[in-house]
Amino acid sequence: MALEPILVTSQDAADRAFREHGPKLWRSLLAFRGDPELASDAMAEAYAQLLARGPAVHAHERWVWRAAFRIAAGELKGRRRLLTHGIGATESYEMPEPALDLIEALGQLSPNQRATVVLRSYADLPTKEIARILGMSQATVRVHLSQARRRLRPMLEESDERPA
Amino acid sequence: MSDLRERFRVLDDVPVPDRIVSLLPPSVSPRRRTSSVRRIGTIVAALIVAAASFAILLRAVRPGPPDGHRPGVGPFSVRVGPAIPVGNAPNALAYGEGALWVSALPAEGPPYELVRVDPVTGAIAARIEVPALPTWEVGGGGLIALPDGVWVTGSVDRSEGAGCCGDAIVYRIDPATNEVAERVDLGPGSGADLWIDDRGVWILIFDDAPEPGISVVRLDRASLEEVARISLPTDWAKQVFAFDGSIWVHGNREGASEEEGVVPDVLFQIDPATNRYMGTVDLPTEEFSLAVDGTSVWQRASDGVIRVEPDGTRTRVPLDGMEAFCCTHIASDGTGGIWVVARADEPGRVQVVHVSAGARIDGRADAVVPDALLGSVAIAFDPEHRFLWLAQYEDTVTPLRLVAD
Repeated sequence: MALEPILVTSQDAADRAFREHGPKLWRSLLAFRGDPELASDAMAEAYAQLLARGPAVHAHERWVWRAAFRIAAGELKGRRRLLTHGIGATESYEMPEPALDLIEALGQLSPNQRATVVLRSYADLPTKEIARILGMSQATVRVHLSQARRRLRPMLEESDERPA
Repeated sequence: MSDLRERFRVLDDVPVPDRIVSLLPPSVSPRRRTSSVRRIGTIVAALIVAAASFAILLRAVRPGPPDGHRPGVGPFSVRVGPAIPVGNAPNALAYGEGALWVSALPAEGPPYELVRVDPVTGAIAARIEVPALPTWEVGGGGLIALPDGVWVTGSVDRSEGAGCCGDAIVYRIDPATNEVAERVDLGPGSGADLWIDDRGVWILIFDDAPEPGISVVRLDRASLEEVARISLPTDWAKQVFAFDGSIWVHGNREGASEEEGVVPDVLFQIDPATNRYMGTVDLPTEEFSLAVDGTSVWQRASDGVIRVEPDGTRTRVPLDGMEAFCCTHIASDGTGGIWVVARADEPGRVQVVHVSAGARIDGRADAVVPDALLGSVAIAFDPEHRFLWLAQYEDTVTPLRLVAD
């Protein structure tokens, strides 16, 4: 899936971007952070910022993905701190079992490994696009991807072998 | 489970919350929720575990040391210094000219700053605005501190729509003024690493045009004019360094990439006399970062470290008691040996081992460290104060003081 640069000239264009990418973006954010509330917050904030910026944003689809992932990643420190103090996330969410297994496995990866493998294997973005979204070089993206795949495969195989 | 993409398709069955659906145009409708309920908190808790294992790639560069071995360091203890907040995400370290130099990548992109830290007081001595920073997110590289300045390679962004990615550059910071004293633009691509000796400035570049690839650009040491551009038969590389008269690049075996994977188990040799690619030397194991200092090349192994000679000869140094943990970081000591940092068998402790140029273990100690330190991403050795500097992913650098017993 390539993110083609399109000029945002109206609410319609922004809506189109959201219609085409919204559900996939939200699920990518969920897989990245493992927290539906955080995924929703990051996506809503990115969408609000897109509308506020209007014509100033040119490659709007790429912009939304980049903004949403940055916003989601920015929450990381605070959330870790809460957990350290024993407050933990308390949200519950209804989710299919296979997806939950996948998200649990992703939780064992580092944030960048997780982001790159989600954007590649689920969002189906090319390395160049992932590098733009995450603000890192293509070379670094490939390192994270390689490590993520190596770590993820045995974890998923293990979950496949567990009795239902 | 042969195809991760296929496995990720299960995410398509995850219902999008009403809150998000309400943001979407009417053509997107909510999906039914399934009955399984679990706490997402358990997943977030797993992130804590993941963070502890975030230390992966490393490197230490100390270019141009004299040949010859030095006596072993003798018994020492490890004292952990206070973490120094540098801001942003430190990704490369170098010690030189009495200072620790830290590249810390801001999440939002430019403006970039190179941070100069006083190693004695831990104070931030300067924040230097620079055109680019090293592009590796973890593992160091692209930053060298020499007597004539601090050299950095990276890439500068191009304007939107002008094409992919950016332009590679190399620049020098004058430590006397803390300003960019020289800058060379190297064309489309991204500067990944550099090595400097009296034969030139050697910059490893991920090319962007006309075709993606890997090159080494050689600049004249005095004029900084481009002397040669040497293409290598690989699509990924991490380090460039001098060793035994040649220039070497550590990277992917040709054709080894599988769906953009990385298998860095080869050294590519360049003859500086002809500026030609000569061939490859296999490494014992695939490794993302090597410890090099111009006189030796070391890499990690599952049970210790391995010294690699120019002809491919290998000297394995097992590190007893570290089999399960070797090695979080290795750093050249500047005289042919290395410092090895690894988790200790006991939680919350690290071991530090010195292996001499003669592949002899001549010092070993351990210390209790903060959890964050176990997740360090880059390392540098400060021979002046005998500190091992470690960079933590979020925003700090921490010294391990090596105190003679």
